[in-house]
Amino acid sequence: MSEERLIEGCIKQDKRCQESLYKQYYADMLRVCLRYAKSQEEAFDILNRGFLKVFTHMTTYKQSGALGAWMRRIMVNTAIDFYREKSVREKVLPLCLEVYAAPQQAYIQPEIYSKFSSKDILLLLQSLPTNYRLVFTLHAVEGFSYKEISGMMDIKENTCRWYLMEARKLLQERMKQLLLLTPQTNAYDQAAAS
Amino acid sequence: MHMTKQPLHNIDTLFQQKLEELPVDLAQQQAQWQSLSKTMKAQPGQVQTPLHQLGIKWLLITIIVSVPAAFYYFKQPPGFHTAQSATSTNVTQSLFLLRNAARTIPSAKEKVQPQARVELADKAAIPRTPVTILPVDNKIPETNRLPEKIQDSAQATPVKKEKPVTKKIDSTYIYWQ
Repeated sequence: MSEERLIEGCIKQDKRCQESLYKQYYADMLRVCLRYAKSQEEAFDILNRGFLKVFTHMTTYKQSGALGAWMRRIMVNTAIDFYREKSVREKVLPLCLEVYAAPQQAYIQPEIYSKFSSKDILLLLQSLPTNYRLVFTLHAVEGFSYKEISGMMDIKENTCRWYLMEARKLLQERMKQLLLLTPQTNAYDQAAAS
Repeated sequence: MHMTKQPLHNIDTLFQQKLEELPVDLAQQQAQWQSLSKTMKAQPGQVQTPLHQLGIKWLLITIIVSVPAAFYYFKQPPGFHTAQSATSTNVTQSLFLLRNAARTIPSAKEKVQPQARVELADKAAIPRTPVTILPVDNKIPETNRLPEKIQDSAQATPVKKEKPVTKKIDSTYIYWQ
């Protein structure tokens, strides 16, 4: 079934078209939701809420852009709203709000880079506090600007930069800890871990 | 052992690439779809067809317009609408107003007349305390009494009513008629 027919069917509330659309975009949208969620259960919750919004507002979809990109944006907004409703977002603010022009970048060796699987990276991301995780994912993974993120999350740009800086620090420390915990097989690994 | 210098990877890039490659377990797909479809059935109001939404809008517009129209319609006096449809001018309305005004004049009179009757009835209904006019006392005080002969003659002639004694009777004071 073509995408246009799917969209028409979803507008007419055809259950078969809705199911087909759901299954077609399930993997991509779940992948997006997992980045923002703290656990798999929360990711499923965000996913279904997002799809409910997709089916409700299908009439507002203007076919100028890709359907996947439109749905992806809905999932991101749903994830932010989800944590706003839960009031889980920690009200952690920096002690002094200096102007962070460019938060320090964190670098790792390529060999270390290869040590980490996608699941390890996901676990590292989910271990972050909620605000750190949301800001890091929105900027580093999705590519949103500080201005866009501050509007979406209703925080100041400086606060956004601070969250990003702290998230990178925490991820670097935890990656080091993980490397130390895993058995080292060669000298290079031992050197990289130190 | 030489370690070749390779460019460092940005942690952001690492996360971006790894998360895009993340494998997703499809075992839960059917279960999640069934959960979503149950939610959509339970909340039918949220997922509406455009036609249904349009129908609701028109219904609301109709209600908003019809309420003041009905109020205006029922406010008019009876019989107005048939005349209005016949003439469809404001003349009919003004005639109705005049007729109503003319009706109010006799009705005002009727209000006043019964009111007056009521007032009179009220007055009649008020219990009157009997006013007893005490007879003038013709008794002459003893000291001033005339002898019987003279008294008889006095009685033949009209006797003037004596003024009430206001002063203290003095035996030395004689009333002459």
